[in-house]
Amino acid sequence: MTDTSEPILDIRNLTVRFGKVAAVNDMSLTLRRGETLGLVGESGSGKSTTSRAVLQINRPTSGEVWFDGEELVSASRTRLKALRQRMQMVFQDPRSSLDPRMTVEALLAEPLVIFGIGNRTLRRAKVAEMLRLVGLDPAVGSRYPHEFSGGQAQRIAIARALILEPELIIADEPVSALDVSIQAQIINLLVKLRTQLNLSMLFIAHDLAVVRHISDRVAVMYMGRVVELADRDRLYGAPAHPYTRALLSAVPVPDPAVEVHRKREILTGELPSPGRLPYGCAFRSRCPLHAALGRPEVCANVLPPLVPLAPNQSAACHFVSDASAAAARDQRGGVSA
Amino acid sequence: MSAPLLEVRDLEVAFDTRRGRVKAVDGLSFSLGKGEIIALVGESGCGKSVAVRSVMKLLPEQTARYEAGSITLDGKDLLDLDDKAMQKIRGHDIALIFQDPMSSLNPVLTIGEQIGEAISRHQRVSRREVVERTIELLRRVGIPAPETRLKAYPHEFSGGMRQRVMIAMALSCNPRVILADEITTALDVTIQAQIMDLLKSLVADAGAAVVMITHDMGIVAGAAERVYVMYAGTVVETATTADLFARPAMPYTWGLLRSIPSLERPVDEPLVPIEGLPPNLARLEPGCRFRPRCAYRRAICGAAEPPLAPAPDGAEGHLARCWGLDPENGWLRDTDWTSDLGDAETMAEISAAAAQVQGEKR
Repeated sequence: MTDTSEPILDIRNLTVRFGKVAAVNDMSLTLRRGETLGLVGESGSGKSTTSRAVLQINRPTSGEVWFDGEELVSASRTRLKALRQRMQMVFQDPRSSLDPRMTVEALLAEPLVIFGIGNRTLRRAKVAEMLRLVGLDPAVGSRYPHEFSGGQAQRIAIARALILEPELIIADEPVSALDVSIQAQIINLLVKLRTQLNLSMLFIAHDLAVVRHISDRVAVMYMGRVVELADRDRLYGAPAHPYTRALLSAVPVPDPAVEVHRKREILTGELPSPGRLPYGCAFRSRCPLHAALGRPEVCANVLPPLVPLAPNQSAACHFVSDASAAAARDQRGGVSA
Repeated sequence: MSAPLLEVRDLEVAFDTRRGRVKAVDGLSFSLGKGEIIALVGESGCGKSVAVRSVMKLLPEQTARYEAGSITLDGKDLLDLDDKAMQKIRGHDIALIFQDPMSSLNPVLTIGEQIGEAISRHQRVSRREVVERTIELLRRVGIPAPETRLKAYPHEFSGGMRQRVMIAMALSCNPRVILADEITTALDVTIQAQIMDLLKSLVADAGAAVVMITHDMGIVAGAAERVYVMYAGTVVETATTADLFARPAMPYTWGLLRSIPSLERPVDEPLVPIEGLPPNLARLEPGCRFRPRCAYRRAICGAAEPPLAPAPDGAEGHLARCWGLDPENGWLRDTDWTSDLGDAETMAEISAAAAQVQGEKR
């Protein structure tokens, strides 16, 4: 991964409001060319809204989205349509994103038809090639979506997203509806395709272990903002933000020997209502560090900005150095990379 | 361990479908002791949810049939009971907590009314006592300011709070057995950790026993004492949690453990999926159920179903269903599952089969 080239995607101060609720709040994030950026967070943290706002499915309230040097929020409909050819989305539920009345071949050829690419024969060949690429027999082209299992249907959805040879893929929880044994098949497929086709990918998921397997960098979202952004190994090895640390410590580890000795940082309380976000740091109502420090006022009065801690890590917390110190101290009880 | 509280023996449950009879549960046995937490683990369609619903006798009467086996609670066979007697047991002796609290709570009744209903259904208590007990229950499951939340409706609660309400309702009659069907699946990890902690503390305090249904090996590792791994309607391996994770015996369990993304694995080690697709129960092939996806299979695997027999490590109660573990002719008894992934040629065959559509041509 090189930083030198211009980012493929540059999100600047993005805000998306639904009525009074700011689902995404003044968020900035860049995706480098060829990299996979994992976006994690709990439900309601704004990950899916971000992905939809990037593709202009939901129009942002304010902010800019730059794709390969072009601004999307202010772009015309015609221009957007043309650009969408180069950025495609894979959704969580493959069954509801595939029209049940169309054969697989028609489903895969549809994007080509919409963009007027090729003739019948060429499209046929392309469909067969894509099916083979995602591990399906081209003969399944005459079948309908309901005849496929969940994992196979997700392969079809991936083939459909890739048939236009996009540069950017936004995958929104692409494996969370699948069984574990199938999940691994799809993760491995995405890893293979990303390298083979040199894709840049925004990979959205709530499962931190899944994100770790596929991402180069990871952004953690909480209540519409990025609270930590770091290289994968850094984020999982030395998480800085108290929320990241709590999130990692809550992930169950499939090893009873580890689970017995594991020090859990169980968050009390629940996510605040996004319509009534507290002033200052939105995490402070559940923050163990805030409580341990005797509830300092600055957390309630000042919104912590996302500041760099190291060349490959930034976090939004007033007391992040205290948190990292605590992390280093607890490393034995915590999660190691 | 004392005599089992709940014991399921050789249970077979079939459904009538348009494609003929489908055995969703085929020869399931497990036992639950007092104060114990056990887990039934498996992927969708393996029969784990049908299994717990059959214990409660909550299966659709028109289509579901108990074909064989027994379900005994304290030595009493539930399958012999009529519906009236069964109603006394449901909620009172055995409680079931469902996966999705939003669709199991009644949206037009307040939280207080719903828990109160569960209490007064089985016990004769005054209205004031019902209110007091409801508040006490809500407090026990960690709902802050319970007095003020009685009049709230389910939609005013978050997902984690609703799951707590479901647990409170299940606890209302101090059941001896709690069946928890994927209770944390719909929840975020931080809330999931809270709910699992709550469940564990309730078992420790109240002495209830829990059958946990889950697909998440991480949850199992942290909570259960014994695990039953299910595949296509039957148990393929069972052991204490420690034994199962330390020395898993048969290829499906190996596959499950290899395919889970975990924070503990080396980060660059690729996941090893189980190739192929879960079988269609309406069209099971003879022989081992896992054979179509097994990279270690041999000719014998297609001939007959292997028995659930003692695993090679000899740990007590560690059983596995695999011809490769046969004491005389087994070829997997010394296999190192972490390095030996099976026969490459067989694996290619499985992938080729998975690229096709299962089932009949249109």
